[in-house]
Amino acid sequence: MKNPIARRIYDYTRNFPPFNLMERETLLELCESAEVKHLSIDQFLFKKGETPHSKVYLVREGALHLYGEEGEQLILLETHDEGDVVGLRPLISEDNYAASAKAEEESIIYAFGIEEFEKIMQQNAVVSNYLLRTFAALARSRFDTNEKAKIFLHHGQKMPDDFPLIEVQTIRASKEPVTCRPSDSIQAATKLMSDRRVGSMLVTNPEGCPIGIFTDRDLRQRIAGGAFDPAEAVSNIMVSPVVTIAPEMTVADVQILMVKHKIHHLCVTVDGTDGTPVVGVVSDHDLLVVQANNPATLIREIRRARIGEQLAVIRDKAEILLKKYIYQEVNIMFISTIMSEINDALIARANQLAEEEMISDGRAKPPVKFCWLGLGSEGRREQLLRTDQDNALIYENVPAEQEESVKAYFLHYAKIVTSILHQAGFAYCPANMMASNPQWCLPLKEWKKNFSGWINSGTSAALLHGNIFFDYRPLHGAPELAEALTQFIFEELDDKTIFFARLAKNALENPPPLSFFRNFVVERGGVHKDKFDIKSRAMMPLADAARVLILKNRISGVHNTVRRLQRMAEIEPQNADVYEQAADAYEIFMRYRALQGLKDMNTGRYFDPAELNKLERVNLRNSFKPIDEIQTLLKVRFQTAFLG
Amino acid sequence: MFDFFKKRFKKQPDHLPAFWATYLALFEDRFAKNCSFRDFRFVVFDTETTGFDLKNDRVCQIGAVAVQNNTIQLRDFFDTLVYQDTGGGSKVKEIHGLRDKTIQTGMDEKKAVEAFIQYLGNAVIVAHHAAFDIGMINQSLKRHFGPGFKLKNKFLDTAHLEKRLKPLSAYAVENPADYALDILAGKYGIDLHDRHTAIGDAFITALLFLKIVARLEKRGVMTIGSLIA
Repeated sequence: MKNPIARRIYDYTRNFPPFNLMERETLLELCESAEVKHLSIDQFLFKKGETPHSKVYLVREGALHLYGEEGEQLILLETHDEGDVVGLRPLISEDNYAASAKAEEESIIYAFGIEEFEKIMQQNAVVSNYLLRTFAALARSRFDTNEKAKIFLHHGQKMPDDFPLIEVQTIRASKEPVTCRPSDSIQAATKLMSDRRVGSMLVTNPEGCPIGIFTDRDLRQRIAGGAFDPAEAVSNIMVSPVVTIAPEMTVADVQILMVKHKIHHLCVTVDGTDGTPVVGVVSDHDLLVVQANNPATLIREIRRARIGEQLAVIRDKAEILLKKYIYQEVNIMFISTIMSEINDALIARANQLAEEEMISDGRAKPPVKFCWLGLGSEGRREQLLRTDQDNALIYENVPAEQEESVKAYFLHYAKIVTSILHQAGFAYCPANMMASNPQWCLPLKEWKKNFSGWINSGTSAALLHGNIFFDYRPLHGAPELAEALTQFIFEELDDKTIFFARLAKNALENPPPLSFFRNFVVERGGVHKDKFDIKSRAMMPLADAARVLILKNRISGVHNTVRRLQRMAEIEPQNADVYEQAADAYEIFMRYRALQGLKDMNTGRYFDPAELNKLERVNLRNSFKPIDEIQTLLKVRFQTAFLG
Repeated sequence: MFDFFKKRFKKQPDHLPAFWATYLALFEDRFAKNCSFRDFRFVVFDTETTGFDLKNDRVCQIGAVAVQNNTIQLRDFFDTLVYQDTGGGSKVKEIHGLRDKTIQTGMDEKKAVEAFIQYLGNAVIVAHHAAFDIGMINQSLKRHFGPGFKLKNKFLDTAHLEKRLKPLSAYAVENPADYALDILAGKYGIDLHDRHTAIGDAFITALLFLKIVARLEKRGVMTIGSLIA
């Protein structure tokens, strides 16, 4: 006997994947065994850790939210509304539910039997592929990614890495130059200058071409000289001819001309000669502004800084530079190189200042060789905006009787360094992952012991430390200590298949951050409620994956995630696509994070997806795809499924 | 036990039909009115009839679907056409759209009612304006099996349940038309396609039942006893 109601279920269900991929008879039969469930608001369909139901669910009416847990906090993972399929897990694995599904509205849910579903999957490859893929990540067509260049909407303009810093920096002429005619009176001209608050006046012919210039300085000399009549024509006091320059000028061009002619203003014309109209004026002040914000000058200033507050001011200027680069869509690798040079210089300077302070406090020079390490994003040369400090210190092994005093010395030293960095705007690490923590200020042998512990224990805390510490980079002191440690780590890692599998599994903790079909995965609660966490949801999965792969290949000295992925593409040409796309995606995440950070005046880690425009959303969403691809690769390569 | 049985149903013939004995046995246990209603099997049903006269009209279709734990169990359903000699003059065919010819293909009424009783078991009956549908079934039982044969099940009327959701003051001016199935379905956002087949209406009634009961549950109605009250 056929149940006529099944037809109603069918009529609705057949509009949505994977049901629309099933044959009519098959789907009708599936609908015969359906259940129609009612959920009140806040009622759970299933809870995390619950043994899987023998059902797959389709939302018919209302909405469900899927929550994960992070400690005490509920994290909103996905939103499902009408036509969305929920609870596929029992189809694919025997694990308990990994998330909780709760009704956000009164909901009507269609429930279909797992057994019937499995039968269909066995018979219909399209359906099973769809379900497997959907479960593995998000619904997407693999074919989209064939033409890789097209999946990202705007690549940053590429710039060569040996881009000379200061000389080719372009400068802007002041817009809309103030001009007058040769016959105008000095009084009228100076009034205009004061109204428009400019220090110079260009005198032009009727065609707009420059025939002379006069400046505040010329005027002062004239008044001081005594012979001065305000009614006099401007042509009598202007300096002529004018030194002109084309709009495509660099700092170097401007400097050369100003020095050569001993002048402070250059007239910018259409083609750089005085036979074409004026388009602007460049003053030595403009030059000063540009120079104050160029990396080379900033680094010079850093090296001269005496206190943390000075470093903070310089780092603020670096941020202005960053803003300019970001808005001009300068290649993100170029930007991160510049910014990490600046950060490195700043951290090195903080170290020097600390050494000086130790000496002026009457303490001796460092008793043994040591090396200051940058960890995390600073270690990876990815820190664009100031985030929390993550650092550590290695010093040479010392005889047992000196251990205590040497450690005390370096702890005190590290305390000074971290406090200078704090003044410079790098907040203290809330997890106290800093060289001033006795745990992270250790002789080489202790560090070796730590790493070997992390590599061999495989606890989640060990993996967390591993993730942060494996990205270390020497920033000050004796780099050979860091190199010795790296050497040791690679030896220790040899044949540690299980450790790599654990590390890989850890890198899979954050799946691609899109919900089933469309929504961004946002934070459920806390101060960042409803915000998207680009760091942990988009960047960390890639950074973690790149680290595992690069460690496995025993490559040291490549810290940056993008560079690591590019290196992997060279090593494994067969997977070059995956790695290159992941590298591109990472660049895009870095850019978005910087943009958001500059906009919101913070680290840019959390932002509201609703604030993105459609193009940005699509661009970001496309960039999530490589996360899934690289995670699939990790799963297979490191056999993570065999880990409990 | 048997004495008690005989005494209680003394009006009925000594030789009960087997299906009826089985049915009655299901009601021997005391009704567990303090249990959560979620544990109970509800049968939501609807009848199509030749007219609205409880004495003279006849059932021509019975449709039902079961609800348990706030879930409609599509597998647990009942859908039967009932043969009636309508003499070509069914008054309500405009409503239910069952042509006389279709009704001619139906099951013998006695067998249909027996099958329905077997399907029903001791479930709690749910129907919209339940008195009419229950009355039709009881009339049929009486005609085919004799006096004393009538439904023993507890029952719920979705129209009545809906009234319980209203504040008392609203009772005064209530209009019976406000409680028509179409109106309530519209109010609760339930699709009305394929209305007026018995099982189609039973399904709409079942969805209505789930939604109303969820609201009563929020007001502290948890046990089957308090739901039926």
